[in-house]
Amino acid sequence: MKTRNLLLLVALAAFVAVLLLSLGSSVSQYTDFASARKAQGEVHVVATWVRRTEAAYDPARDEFRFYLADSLGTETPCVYPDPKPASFETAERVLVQGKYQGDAFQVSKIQLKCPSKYQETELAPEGYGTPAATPNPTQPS
Amino acid sequence: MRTWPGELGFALVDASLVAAVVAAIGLLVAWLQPTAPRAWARLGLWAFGVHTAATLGVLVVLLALIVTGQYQYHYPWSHASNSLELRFVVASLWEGQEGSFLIWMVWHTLLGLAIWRWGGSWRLGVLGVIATLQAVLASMILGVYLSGALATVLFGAGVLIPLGVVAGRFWRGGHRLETAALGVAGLLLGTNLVRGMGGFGARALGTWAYGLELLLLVAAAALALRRTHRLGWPLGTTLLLALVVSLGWVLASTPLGGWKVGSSPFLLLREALPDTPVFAQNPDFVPADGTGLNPLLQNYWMVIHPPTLFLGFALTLVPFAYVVAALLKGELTGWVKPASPWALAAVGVLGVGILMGGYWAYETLNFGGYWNWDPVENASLVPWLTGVAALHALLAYRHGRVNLRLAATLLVATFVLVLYSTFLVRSGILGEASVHSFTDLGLSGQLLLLLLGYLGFVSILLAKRWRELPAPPTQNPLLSRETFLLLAATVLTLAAVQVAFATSLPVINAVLGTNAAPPPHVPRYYYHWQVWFALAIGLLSAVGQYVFWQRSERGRLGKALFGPFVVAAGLTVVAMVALKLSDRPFVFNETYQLHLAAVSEQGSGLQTALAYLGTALLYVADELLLFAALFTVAANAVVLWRLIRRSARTQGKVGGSLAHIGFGLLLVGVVFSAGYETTVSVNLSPTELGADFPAEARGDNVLLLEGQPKAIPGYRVTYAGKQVAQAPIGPLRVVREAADYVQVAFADSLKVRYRVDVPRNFFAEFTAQPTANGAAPAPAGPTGAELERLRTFIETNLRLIEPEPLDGRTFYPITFYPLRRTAEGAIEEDPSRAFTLTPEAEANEQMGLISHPDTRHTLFSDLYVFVSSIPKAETDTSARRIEVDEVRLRGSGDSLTQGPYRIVLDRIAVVEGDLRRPEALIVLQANLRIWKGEISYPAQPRFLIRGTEAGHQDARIDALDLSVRFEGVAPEAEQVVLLLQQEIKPPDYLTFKALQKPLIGLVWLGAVVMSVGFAVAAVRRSQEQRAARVVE
Repeated sequence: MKTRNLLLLVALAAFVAVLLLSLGSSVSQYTDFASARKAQGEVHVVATWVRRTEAAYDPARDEFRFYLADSLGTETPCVYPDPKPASFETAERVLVQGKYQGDAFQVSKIQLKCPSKYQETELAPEGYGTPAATPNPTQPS
Repeated sequence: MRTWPGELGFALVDASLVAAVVAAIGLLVAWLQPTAPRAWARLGLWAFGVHTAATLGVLVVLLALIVTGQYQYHYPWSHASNSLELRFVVASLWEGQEGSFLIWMVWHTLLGLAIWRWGGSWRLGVLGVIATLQAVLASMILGVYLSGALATVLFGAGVLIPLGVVAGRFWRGGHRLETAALGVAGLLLGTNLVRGMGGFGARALGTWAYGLELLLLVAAAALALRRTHRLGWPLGTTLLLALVVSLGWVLASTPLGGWKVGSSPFLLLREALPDTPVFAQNPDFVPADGTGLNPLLQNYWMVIHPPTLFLGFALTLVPFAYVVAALLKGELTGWVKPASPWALAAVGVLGVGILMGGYWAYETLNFGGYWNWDPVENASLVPWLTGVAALHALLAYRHGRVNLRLAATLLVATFVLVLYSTFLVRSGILGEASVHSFTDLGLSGQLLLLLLGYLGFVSILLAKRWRELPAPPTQNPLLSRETFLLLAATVLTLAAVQVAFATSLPVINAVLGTNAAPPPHVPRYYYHWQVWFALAIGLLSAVGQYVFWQRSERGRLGKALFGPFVVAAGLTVVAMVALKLSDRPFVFNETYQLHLAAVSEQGSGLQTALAYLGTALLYVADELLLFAALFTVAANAVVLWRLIRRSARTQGKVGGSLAHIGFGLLLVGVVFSAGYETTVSVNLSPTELGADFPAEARGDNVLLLEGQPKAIPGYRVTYAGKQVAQAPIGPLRVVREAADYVQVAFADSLKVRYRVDVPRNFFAEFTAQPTANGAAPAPAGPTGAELERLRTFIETNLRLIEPEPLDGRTFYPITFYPLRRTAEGAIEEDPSRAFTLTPEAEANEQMGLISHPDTRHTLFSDLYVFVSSIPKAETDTSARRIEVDEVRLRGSGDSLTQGPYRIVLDRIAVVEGDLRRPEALIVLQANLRIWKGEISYPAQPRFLIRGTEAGHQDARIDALDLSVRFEGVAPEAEQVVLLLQQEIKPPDYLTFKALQKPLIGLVWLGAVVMSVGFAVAAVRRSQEQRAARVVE
């Protein structure tokens, strides 16, 4: 009985250790663009959109190009093979995952940190919604 | 402005909370001390009844506020709106945290009533445990602020001491209790009324306590009327406690600050958003409309998925309550039978709820698939896994009388994990790690307290009773039911632990202060773990079912399993060969080569060897999983068949084999639909992208210009412009009546709802009746006949009017022409097999593009298509082009046709100046009518002259994107020169993504079969239970 419990305990410890290791090997720390340039695989960078630059999606090439600055102020061009994520412009921070290809940071995943998502905190005095522009049929002149 | 419904709501929440506390005390005392006076049980049950009534009352009040659009309240304002359909109005009840807490509570009360009725000898204990959680949940929607030390001192010195003294006296006095309760309650009510009149902010400070006082009054009155009950000291202490608690609330709560307890759904808008300037001018301001349900959620599934999921959550409380009641009292085994059907129902309903979410995500939300390993999804999967593990452990105990410890622990863990999931989803700790968590309401402390409180309590309880609970078997033959059941429970638990662990990364980060990022490819990370668990479950459930039903020795078992084994192996090989699985890229294997290369370059010898081993294993894992899944389907199908044939008695026992067949089918569906998913939206004309465009950088989105076909693998696709409303249209409904326009809504033949703003004078033209004093007729409202006339008008002019989709919903029809290879090797189109998919997309102001996919379901595969981007809104005019046409008219009454328009010049008016004095300013106006089809549009462009200078005031007709300029007058020909400036919009386009998902139907089929299995088993266990009660 005792040895069995011990064995079980060891097995459980091994399981947890493997869990931690697996997470450890596939989890990366957040880093900056300078070290991302040297990194081998994909890295995560917490950055902000450089507002004075354009962020445009080219539907023909299926590329969204924009400039990001990391926390150290390093600016870098980024390419993302998908349309511009919703509320990209209003995001406080942009989390990108990817790697450098040439001079551009090739983004494989974008996550946006948005200020208080979906919460109704502002009240327009006229209530919500404005009448849509519609034709004015047979308006007497 | 009506405020009493909210005050009623506050009071009911308060009553619900206090009644739950009283119920918990009464029921648990009665449960734990069988010698205690029966009055405790009566008191507890009575209080639970009051609690149920109050909770249902809260639901009714909140629902009424939402349905009737009481936008002076924050909750209805921020979740509902006028134009929502009724079912979505109801669904907006559980869009927010408060409402979903409420739904959860309501399910608990209904389940409590079921326990009350059918719970037999266990009902006191089980209801007592349920009542404790109800009290905590009620506090989540209470919405008061406790302010620290001062209040505590006041509360202690001013109330507790005198009340204690009084209590002591009446305890001894016994009979005078009723009078005392009545008196105190009356006094309290009186103080609160005075407080309210004194302008202390009655709602925030005291009003919500009226409910409680009312409750006490009723209690005291009931006692006074039925003196024979002699509730005596139990009632005395409990009522006193309730009084103290409520007085504490009253004294310690301040409207402004302190520790927030709960978030009330009954806050007025001005209380929730006090800084809004409009309230400074007009405190009674009520918005005309709410902000509506999140457009992403306006869907059938939003109506049924959350309540189902919450029912699943609520059901896990019942077996938990049985276990806790049993552990508390020390009746350690009797709970197994009555709790079993509840555990089955919990797992079954939770499973259905989770799968509904998956189906919703797949069919209408744009998550790209049914499961994304999102933390919120995982948070509900983990309790399901432990629940299934618990079912196996329970069975092991029922058949072998072994290891009740595991079953009890797992049932308790399942409920605690539900609490953990609540904490994850609602505390805001997931942050941006999830696509769908609630807004943080600042309840995280309270939620954490709830979680840790229950976790600590049940841990201590389990530890205390651990030795008394039936132990695991010391010796068990390998091929026995118990071994397999316990193995199954273990594997499922390990699978749950892995998911829970990886999901908790944000929590781990928060606790350890680390900054670890999630795995780069989340689904792949989970797959690499879960594939082994799934494999083990598949094999175990195939062999285990035989062992379970036949208790075979080794030889016979081998013989019996041979058939299913051959079938499964054969099918796997056939699938591999026929579908050329080895040639197809398996999604989760993508990066092995890279990983190997990296490791062998940098790593040590051992690491390299391990990497090779891992890669080799993962390469065969999917085929092995396919085999295991088919094996369990085949083996369980044989068991099912035998059970059905053997006797009527065994026919009721097919639940297990059905559930296992369902699970196997689901696994097959997952292997194919996720593993062999392919992207169909690949641009096959690379020249378009430029010569320098690297193939690997090519995205999965294909650009489609309106009217220009494009080739993608297997199809030619075209897009003919967005879909407009289709006649015939349904009856009109007036949505809003503003001063100068009336907004009407209707549904077209495709059931899409549209709106049109009709100017008031449109109706005035119909019903213009001069008023007595000759003033302009008052703006008329639409009558029935007018609406019908308007309906016909809109229906015949749909293309011109272009009604706005009511919910901003716009459909983008994309036609697919399948390509096939002819015998000669040429590729040709097959027009007879063409089909059109109409994904939906909406450019939402706050949330960007909201896209809903459309899916073509076929027997073997789904084609899943969604719009990934559309041109910017029409306000962007930079890309527009203008075409100008010169038109000359010969004075008043002349007309001519130009393009689609017929232009009629009614007359030319001199608006200002005198034609005989050309040196001063002269303003000429051309009164034009421009006809397009049946509709005429007035236009009055002006021409300004002063001496030799000339100017223009163009008239613009928005509906036609047309501007008309009065260019000038050609005196020699006596002509009026007009310039028609037609804006030409750039060609419409969209980009789309298309995915082929083979055999995804098996996922849903498997899920349904599995749920039926759970239902069959639950029904059987509850019948068994009923039969056992009859025998008793």
